[in-house]
Amino acid sequence: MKKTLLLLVALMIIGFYFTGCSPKTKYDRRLKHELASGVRADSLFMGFYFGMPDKDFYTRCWELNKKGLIKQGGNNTTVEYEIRNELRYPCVMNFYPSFVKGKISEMPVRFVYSGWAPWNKELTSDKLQIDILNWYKKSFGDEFIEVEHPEKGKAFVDISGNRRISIFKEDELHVWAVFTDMLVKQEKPDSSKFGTNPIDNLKDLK
Amino acid sequence: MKTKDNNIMRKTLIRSGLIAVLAVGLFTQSCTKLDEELYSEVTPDNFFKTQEEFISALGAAYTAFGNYGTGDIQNIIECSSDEAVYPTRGQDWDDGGTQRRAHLHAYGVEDSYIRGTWEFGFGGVNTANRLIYQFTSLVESKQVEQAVADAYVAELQTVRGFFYWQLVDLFGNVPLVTDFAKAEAAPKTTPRKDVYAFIIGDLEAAVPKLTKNVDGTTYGRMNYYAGQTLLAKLYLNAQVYSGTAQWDKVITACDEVINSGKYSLESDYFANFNVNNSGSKEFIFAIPYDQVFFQGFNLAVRTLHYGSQDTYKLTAQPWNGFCTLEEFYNSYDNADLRKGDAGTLVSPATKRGNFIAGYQYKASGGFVMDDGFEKPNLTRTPAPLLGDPDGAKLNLGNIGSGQPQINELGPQAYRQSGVRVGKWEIAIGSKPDAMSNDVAVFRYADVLLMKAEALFRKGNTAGALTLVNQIRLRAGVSALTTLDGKLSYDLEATPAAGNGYELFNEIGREMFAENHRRQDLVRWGLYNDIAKWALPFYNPGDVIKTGAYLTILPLHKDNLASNPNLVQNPGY
Repeated sequence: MKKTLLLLVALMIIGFYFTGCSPKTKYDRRLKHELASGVRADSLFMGFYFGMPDKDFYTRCWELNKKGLIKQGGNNTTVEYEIRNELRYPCVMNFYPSFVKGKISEMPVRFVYSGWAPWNKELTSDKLQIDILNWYKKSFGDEFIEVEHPEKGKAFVDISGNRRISIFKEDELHVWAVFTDMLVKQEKPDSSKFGTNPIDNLKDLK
Repeated sequence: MKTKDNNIMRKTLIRSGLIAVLAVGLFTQSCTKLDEELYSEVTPDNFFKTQEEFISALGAAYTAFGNYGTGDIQNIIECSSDEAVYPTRGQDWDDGGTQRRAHLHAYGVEDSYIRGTWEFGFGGVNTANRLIYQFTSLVESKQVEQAVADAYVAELQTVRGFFYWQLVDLFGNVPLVTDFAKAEAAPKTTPRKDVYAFIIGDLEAAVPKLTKNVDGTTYGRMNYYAGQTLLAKLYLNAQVYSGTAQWDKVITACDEVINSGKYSLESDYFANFNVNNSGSKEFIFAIPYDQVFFQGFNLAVRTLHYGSQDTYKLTAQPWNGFCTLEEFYNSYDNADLRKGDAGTLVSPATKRGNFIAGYQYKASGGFVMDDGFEKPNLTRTPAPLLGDPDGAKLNLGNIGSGQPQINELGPQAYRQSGVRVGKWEIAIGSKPDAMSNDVAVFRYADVLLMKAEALFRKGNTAGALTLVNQIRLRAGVSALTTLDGKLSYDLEATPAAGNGYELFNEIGREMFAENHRRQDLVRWGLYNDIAKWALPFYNPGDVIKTGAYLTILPLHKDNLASNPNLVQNPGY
């Protein structure tokens, strides 16, 4: 009886740890479920989408550029769009996709409040991260889960079909939102612009 | 027996239940624990505590250097000078004219590289301030001994000094924010000379506390010699920043590095720029870029022609942008090992150099072909377009054609116009947007040249020549016997004796593309010579601007809008 009870409790504990609501497990289950659903969620923003051929991407950028909506981004590596109304304060987002076989497979977007300065604590990245999260909930649904990364701190992840959106901080100023087509994730991108997405290192999650 | 069994069972249940509660508690905690870095509210709860955590925390201060290699700050420093430019090639690199405005000194309050440069500077300052606050708080709460914290705080003060140096150099008058916890909500602009005085005072106190070790533990960090080099850079430009020259102090700071015997010139100049260059004896402070772990150095993708992908088997196609100006390229003697040679119709370039010029070949053999080459348009106004002279054969800078290397700034620079930057080795099969070469922020050759300039300014030309000729000897060119000469971008003028322009030219040749030239032009009083090196320009609205006020940048409109106490720099 005693051994049975101890075994039962031990199994419960193990069960809690490995199948409970830990963020990593929740993420894993969500990813598995969404990928198994067969649903495709390719739309990103501004008319960009997963699978968009690189030439179409450049054409679209050129169209938006002619309309004065986007321009050459910071550090000469990205496309820049100024967000004037959607967030609590004016913000700049810079983006440039990664392509696999000439098609968009990932879209990293880097945000910074445009008036950031050390003295303005309202414009730091932890505020901006929540601001972006709330904005994206309106656009992509209210099912973001919270995970914690040992280096990047709190992050938010949404997975809908093949589309994963991860939102995490880089430093005091910058926040990333990375859109990833998980169906092509295993393939090596032709060009990764912004390095490793910490959400890919979920094995490191606390 | 039954009672005893029940008691055992009850105790077992209680103990098991307690374990379960603890387990659930632990588990629940793991669901809600938020060890995130809260940048708006740093509390003792999220401070680092161990030696390993101190080192790890310092990493954030150095991560802030990431954009120094090829970010906005490099853009404005290089492209406002006589050594580099982004020509507008039709739709490519038009960018609303921002690149052309940098070249013409017509930058404005909406240009994004202005804001990016501000973010680079104050981002670094803020991170250093935060970490200093955390270290000093740990000392105050007696969690860390003063002596342990001192070294870290001194290192962070030096890092902060670097970023404030960039701000005082580029923006001149900026708010002075030195306390993370007590930062004013809307600080006032501090005059340039006061910011300079603060940096100097801070560094003179901090640098003596830095380690003199030069080894793996200090690579990529501010040690004593990096601190002295930073001080030398500030003293070198003291006349510009404060109105009072400090040539003796330049010499003293440089001698601290030179006489230490811990650094020396590499026999091979390019040992400083190879992919595997971290062992360079010249590196005093370097940024350890890596294609995976620390990205940010993307020169190859910005400078190379689209077709260069086939030369280097790059994983991505380059963007055909950044290139050097013809007069600057020609300022190198053909025997200069730093120049390298150009590819010809017979063979690829055989000597590596600072430049990638002439005909380009595929790694697999044969010419790189540029199917989109510029075709002639002789009726274009205001100037006819002759087109890329060799047609589809990719000839960077159109070497040997008799045409200018860059026909115009815009709107239609030829696709193949401009000699490209090859100073940093481009590895075959590499990622052009994430190079793994480390980038020296402070290099021994620069220390020699700083001391040479200080000696020259003090009238010791012979002493200056000795140092300059060390650099030239390594470059394989003959020793100079005088520092007087003509400016590389103005060969027609005959400057007065005692001008020292050969020293100025030599600094340019040695330190090309290392975020140097703008500052040199300003210090030598040459920045307003812009019309002498500016390319022909035909875009409507483009104009060259001149004036002393242009030696410091405007504040971006968004930065101004976020703080009513900020004052725009004069002239903007």
